Amino acid sequence: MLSIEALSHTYGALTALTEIDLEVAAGEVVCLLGPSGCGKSTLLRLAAGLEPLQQGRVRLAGEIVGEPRFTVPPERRRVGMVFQDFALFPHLTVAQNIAFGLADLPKAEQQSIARLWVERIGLADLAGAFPHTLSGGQQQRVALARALAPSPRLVLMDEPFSGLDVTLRDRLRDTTLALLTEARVATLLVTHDPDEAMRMADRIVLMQAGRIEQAGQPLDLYDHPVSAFAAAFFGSVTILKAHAENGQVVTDLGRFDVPVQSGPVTMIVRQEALHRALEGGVMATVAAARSLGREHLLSLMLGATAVTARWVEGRLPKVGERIPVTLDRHRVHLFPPEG
Amino acid sequence: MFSDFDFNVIWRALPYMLQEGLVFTLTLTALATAGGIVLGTLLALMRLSSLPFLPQIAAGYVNTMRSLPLVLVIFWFYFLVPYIGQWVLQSDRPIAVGAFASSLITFTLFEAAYFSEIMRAGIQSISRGQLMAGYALGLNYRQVMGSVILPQAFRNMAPVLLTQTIVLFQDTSLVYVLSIPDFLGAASKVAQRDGRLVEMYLFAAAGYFLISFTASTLVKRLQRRIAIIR
Repeated sequence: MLSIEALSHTYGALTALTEIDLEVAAGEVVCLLGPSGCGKSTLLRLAAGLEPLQQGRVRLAGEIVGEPRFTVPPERRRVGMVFQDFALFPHLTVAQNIAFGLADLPKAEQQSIARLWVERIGLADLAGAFPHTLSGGQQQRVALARALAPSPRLVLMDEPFSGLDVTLRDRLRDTTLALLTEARVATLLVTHDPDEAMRMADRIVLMQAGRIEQAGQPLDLYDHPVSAFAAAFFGSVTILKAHAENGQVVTDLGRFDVPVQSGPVTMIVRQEALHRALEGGVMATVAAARSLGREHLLSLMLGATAVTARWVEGRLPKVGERIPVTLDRHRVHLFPPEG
Repeated sequence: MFSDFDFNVIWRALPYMLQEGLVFTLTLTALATAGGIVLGTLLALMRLSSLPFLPQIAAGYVNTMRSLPLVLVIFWFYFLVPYIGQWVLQSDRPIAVGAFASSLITFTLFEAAYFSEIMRAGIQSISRGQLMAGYALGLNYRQVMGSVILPQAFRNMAPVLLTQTIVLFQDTSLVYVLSIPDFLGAASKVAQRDGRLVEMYLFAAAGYFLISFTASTLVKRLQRRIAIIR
């Protein structure tokens, strides 16, 4: 549905995006994931047509909507947008907000579509309320309904959950996903939160410094990161420096094959890589321990190497205690140094 | 000075003061406000436009008007509008423009400069997200401005617009220099005819004070209500 080809963008001397290629199929949810300032929001605005395109091409359903010196204005792209601050119109009621994008239809039809949507998002009682009287979660749902009501071909969402508190987020992600699936609309969602991307995306496009670092299915990115950045971005890790010789590194954690013959390597150890060994294993000393409630965060010394571990089993170990651990080698990633 | 203060003078002048003077002043204030806000909003949109020349034209207009004393503009228009009309209509004689029409044109054009600055601030106070949301929902510039940005800008700026209107209400007394019987002019006429300067000027002052003070109290109340909504 959406297809972006060889798109580059600069702000003066600052390069915002370099050679981006991206596809979103109808009914698919693609997450643009990356740290702030990586260019993901710029890419979203370019897809919407809210900024003129400098280099590359944007197509919607095969038709070119953006090229250098040619642009279909956003109002004629049939693209829905959900903004981080929702951007609800404060002078209009919930129903009027939802009906806002339906100006081409007769009044009666606008009203019946708006009524359908307020019911679908569970706010039928609040159809006549003004946005400032709603909670953050309700506002988010109104923003989503407003974007979906004109049946767009593509929905663009810019950090749609980041203004909400944590307990609400999970519920709203499910509701949102259900509504998007029901509408069978192509969705491009921008987020800096890897958990959110893992939860929502059919495909994740991980960005860094204006480039696509890695794209693929969520679990693929988690299990097979292509770089130390990609590995470290999903969840907390311990980053260790090691030295390869004859295609191997020998560390306090064991012996690993590496993709370089010799030289320095970066070793990424995920927090869930270490488990209590039921038999065998190596002895680790607990250097620090803190309970997070349902799990514990331990700093473990293996020889001279400190590794952070997310401990899900049993009671909170004491500092200085020695416990046998095993290492899940799938949760350890090795890369040649960046650059 | 107050020993021979005569309330009867005011009492006798009251019908003339209200029916002629006050009606003129209030009508002029209302129409000039309406015209000034419409023109001022257009100027603000021009000033914020990304098209070439429009911002410069609007800025030039606003800066010129704000740099001229109002009395000068009033004089200037009163004596020049008939000649401009003659030139525009290609007639033989300067066209007759009544005192009311002339002062209405003057105040509309003059106040538009001030209203445009207020509306510019109002439009800029609306977040860009609102504009983008409007575009993303399939509206063009005119529709986004008309149904998203301007209604909010008016609401946010209503207290300031109304305060400016109170200033305008007081400023209309400057048409006195054209010997027009506005509220102050009417008082002055009676004062000089009857030789009752103290009574009539005090009465005029009380009138302006009462209306302005009441209006600004109401504006303050409105401001508090708007602050709660936002």
